[in-house]
Amino acid sequence: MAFIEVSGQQIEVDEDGFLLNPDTWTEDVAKYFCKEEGIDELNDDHWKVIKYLRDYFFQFGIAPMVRKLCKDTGFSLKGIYELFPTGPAKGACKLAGLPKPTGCV
Amino acid sequence: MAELLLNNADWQFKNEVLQKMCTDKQRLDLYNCLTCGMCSAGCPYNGVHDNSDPRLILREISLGLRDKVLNNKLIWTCTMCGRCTVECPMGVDVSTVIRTLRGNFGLTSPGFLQDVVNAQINTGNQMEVTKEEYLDTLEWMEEELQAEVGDPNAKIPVDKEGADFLFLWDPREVKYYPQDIQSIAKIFWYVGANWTCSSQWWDATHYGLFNGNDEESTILMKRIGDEVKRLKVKELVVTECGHATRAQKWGPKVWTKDPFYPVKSIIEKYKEWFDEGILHVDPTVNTEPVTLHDPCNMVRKEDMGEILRYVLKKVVMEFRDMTPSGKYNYCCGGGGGLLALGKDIQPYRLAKGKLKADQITATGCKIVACPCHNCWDQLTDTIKHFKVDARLAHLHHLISPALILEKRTKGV
Repeated sequence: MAFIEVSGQQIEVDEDGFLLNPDTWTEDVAKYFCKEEGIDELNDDHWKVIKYLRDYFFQFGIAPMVRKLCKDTGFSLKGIYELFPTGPAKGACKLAGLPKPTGCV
Repeated sequence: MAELLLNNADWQFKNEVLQKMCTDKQRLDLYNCLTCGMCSAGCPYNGVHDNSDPRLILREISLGLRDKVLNNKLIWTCTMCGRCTVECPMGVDVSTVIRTLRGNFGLTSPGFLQDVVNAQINTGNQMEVTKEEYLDTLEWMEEELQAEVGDPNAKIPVDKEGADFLFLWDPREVKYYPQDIQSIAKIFWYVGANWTCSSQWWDATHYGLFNGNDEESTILMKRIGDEVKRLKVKELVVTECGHATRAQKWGPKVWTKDPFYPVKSIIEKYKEWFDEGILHVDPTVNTEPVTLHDPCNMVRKEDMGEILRYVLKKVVMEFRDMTPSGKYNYCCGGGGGLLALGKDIQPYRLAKGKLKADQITATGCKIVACPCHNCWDQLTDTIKHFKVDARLAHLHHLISPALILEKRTKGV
């Protein structure tokens, strides 16, 4: 089992560094992950995307399509990549504490 | 050893493996195995991590040591890349032996490999994208493409009967990387291709190739064959993905025994369009030196090494091969479904990745052409873990931005 330490808490992650349990997520987890995903500091736009991803995940049990993400948050695809340089799947979903998507990602 | 043989040998085991083996080659080749060990010499991971000795498992099979074989961890640490067979003097197809063991002897794969197959069987694609979401994404990318090229006739046709080819996507292009759809459709628009994609069965990927379950593989393959017929297309074309290319080309021969329909990788189409003189690319857009990772399923299994290089040399200023290259190149380390085999297999994956990291670094290239989604993920992990100063590009990423719009002749 692998763990990361965030604000004194031990949080379990999978072999690729994604949270095993999205309930263990805190805002500090997103801050902890952001450096390795190429983000210096999280701004309001980042939080908007992160909150959207979490809401969607808890409602549907799966990450949204990028199409849905762009449509519902109002960001263009380019805009999402500017916010999350490593992309929506590996970057944004990881910061939002979603488990690693299964399948070829 | 003698005691082992007496107590545990199951002399029918080898025959059972042979009978269950799904292949278009001569399955009796396994009888020719000399247990000489050239396979283990050819496996790049021999000495890199444990459980990387194909000779051992072949001997165990030959001696009928059923339990030893079925508990041999190589079944899951092997990427089925076929590098061992390149060295085998008798041409024994080790990767097919491994696939046979995975899927026909009641073994359960580690990780989430079976979940991916189940998703494909149950929802039609491995990422469980709904039809509505899929069509919406295509429409979105069509609008983006029309805005990009300034042509309302730039289309992403769906279910167009009688098109020249049916194009299959990788679901991650649809779900997570829609910009890839735009990039590919732009090339099709440029050459005036008469193409279509399916609203029904559009997933090129095929994880039955990895779990070894031929029954599931047949279900998936039949869907695609039926779409080729329903849409009355001349050929099937597969997106830039190694195992998908292999499965779609190999599958009709071994699973569905479908009357032959031509299956091509999109890479082969690039070459055709260059040869026809309708694809015009400005290589000065790609000035940085570029190397190529040879996906095993494309290059060793489907002999596409030369085509890949032919295309790349037309689109970049400087191409540098890695060492070794072509059919001798090393697997990325994530083949054979290893990316879906979870935490127990991940340390093996990373150990394998080190070889590729060193190969890339030695070329001095900062761009690695990677025409496979599976290799892409493994190389992304590798680049990150070993801090390699390089980034990846599909071939269409290099072609699309370099299209010479003034020279576009077809479809104008």
